Amino acid sequence: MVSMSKYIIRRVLVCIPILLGLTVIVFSMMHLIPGDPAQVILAQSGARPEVVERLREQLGLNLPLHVQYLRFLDNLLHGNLGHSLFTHRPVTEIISQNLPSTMELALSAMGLAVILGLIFGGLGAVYQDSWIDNLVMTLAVVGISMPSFWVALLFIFFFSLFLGWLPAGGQGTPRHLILPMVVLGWNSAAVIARLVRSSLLEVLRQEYVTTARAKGLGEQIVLLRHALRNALIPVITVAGLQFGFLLGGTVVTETVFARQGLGRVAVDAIIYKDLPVVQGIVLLVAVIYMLVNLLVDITYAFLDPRIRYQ
Amino acid sequence: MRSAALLKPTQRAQSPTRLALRRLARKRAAMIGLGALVMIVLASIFANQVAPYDPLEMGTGTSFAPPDLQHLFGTDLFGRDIFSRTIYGSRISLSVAFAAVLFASMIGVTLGLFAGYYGGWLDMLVMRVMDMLLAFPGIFLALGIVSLLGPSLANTVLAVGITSIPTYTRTVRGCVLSAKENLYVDAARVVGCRNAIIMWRHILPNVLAPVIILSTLGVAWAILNISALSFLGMGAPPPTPEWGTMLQESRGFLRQAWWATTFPGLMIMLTVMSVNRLGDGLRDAFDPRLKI
Repeated sequence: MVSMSKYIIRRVLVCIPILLGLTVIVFSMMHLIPGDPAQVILAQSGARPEVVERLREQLGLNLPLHVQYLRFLDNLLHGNLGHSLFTHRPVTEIISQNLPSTMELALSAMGLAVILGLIFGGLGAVYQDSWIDNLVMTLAVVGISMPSFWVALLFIFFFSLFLGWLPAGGQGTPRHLILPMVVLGWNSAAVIARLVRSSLLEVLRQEYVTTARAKGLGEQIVLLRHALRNALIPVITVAGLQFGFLLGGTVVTETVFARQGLGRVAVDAIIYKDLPVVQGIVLLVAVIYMLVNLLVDITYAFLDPRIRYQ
Repeated sequence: MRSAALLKPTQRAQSPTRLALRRLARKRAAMIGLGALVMIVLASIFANQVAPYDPLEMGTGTSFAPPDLQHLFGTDLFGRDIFSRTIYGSRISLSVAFAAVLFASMIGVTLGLFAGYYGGWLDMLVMRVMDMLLAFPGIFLALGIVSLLGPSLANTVLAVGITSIPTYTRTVRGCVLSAKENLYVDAARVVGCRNAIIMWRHILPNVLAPVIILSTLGVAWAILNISALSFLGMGAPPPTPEWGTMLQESRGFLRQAWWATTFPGLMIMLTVMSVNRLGDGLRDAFDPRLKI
């Protein structure tokens, strides 16, 4: 267990430079805009010079670069992400208002993807090379090849407009969550199913599985207690990566289903060049993703002690 | 004399590449994918001949005419022929996706080669930068880049390209680390090869298989992402017959015209699926252990 806590500390320490790097990238977004950021932001309104000057003042663009960065960091540490250039609301407020809805969507899609991935991947491995396996894996390839926004349109057409079973957009009740959740989780379910299958097949070839079968254990126990457990280890890593993919996917899903959430706010902010909002959301999502991967690595180390000694 | 005949190889020595290609040729799914892909590429090259109408010409039929012999996929709001637009769309999507993958793989492979070969602080620096790029989930980094540079097809190439660099760098670096321990690398050094020669001529060919596989699957990924960006209004601007843009334009008319959203999407799926099938086949044939 000493090695475990050592591993966790080391893994957490690795996050610090990455976190700093993220702040540098997000900070420099403002300065990577070709041309003068203040002027670019105000371009569509044909702003007068004094308005541009006021915005430069507000964004601190007149200060030396390193001072700007330190100010940015200082503000971050005080939980201040700046204000929207249009609504003038604090970015933190916008985020806290929209984060729950996005997390609800992303987490439920993740749950769905893991459950479907385990069932389909398991079926594929157990009935390897049978028609079930072929069917499941064909479905998985179709799944990863369908653009999610198209699936969304098909579902809206079929389930909302044609059958009238589920609402086409909006939110509030669990019924509103079903379509977006399926659309968002669809791709990840296919990815996880493929991985579960190949991972399970590899484990089923191991000697301890033969041993378990040889001592007369039922196939179900062999499968669930001996094989699946070990097959799940690589799946956990990929599930972590998929969570990032799902967070990104909320951008499209929320837009198609007219759901409130960070993804949709981000799209609007990008269109209107509301840079502080873009910066805040990008940073937040990256930090969430980083924490999820931290959690995944620690879980991984718990499950597979060899990791800790690397 | 007889012993010499016995020693003669009954079969010509075969290179691993040729063996792998032979394995690939036996995979039905991969071959179907390749066939479909070749058809799509041909259709996009000869779009002028294949498409019955100009993709931008309005009023080739009535607004939202359902599919019939005149308009195989029907028409859109402006009476443009969706079949022609879809065919021309494959030209855009494929070339943009290829460009993004080429961009990403060239930079990614070079970085991975240098990081893996030289190690030390260069390796540290490159890999930390890659970690940072990877820290942005999915499409968010691409969105951020497009937001800075402004929405256009060229900037989507850049955005999608940059986001896929880390995959190449990490894979190549890993392969280089094991490849540079090989005896032939020592041999090259002993006969006085410069580092550049060792890297590009001796090590690179040995790490190329995963790069080819990654690039193939990367094309699929790029097509999906580029159409997604266009669908969000951050890729090709409206009159362009880009698949994502077409879906964006007709998504408000689901009830009136199911064909306007069905066929461009179907085409994305078909293309991506062919590429994926081919990529899976390549992976199984060349490097079954590769976890991609």
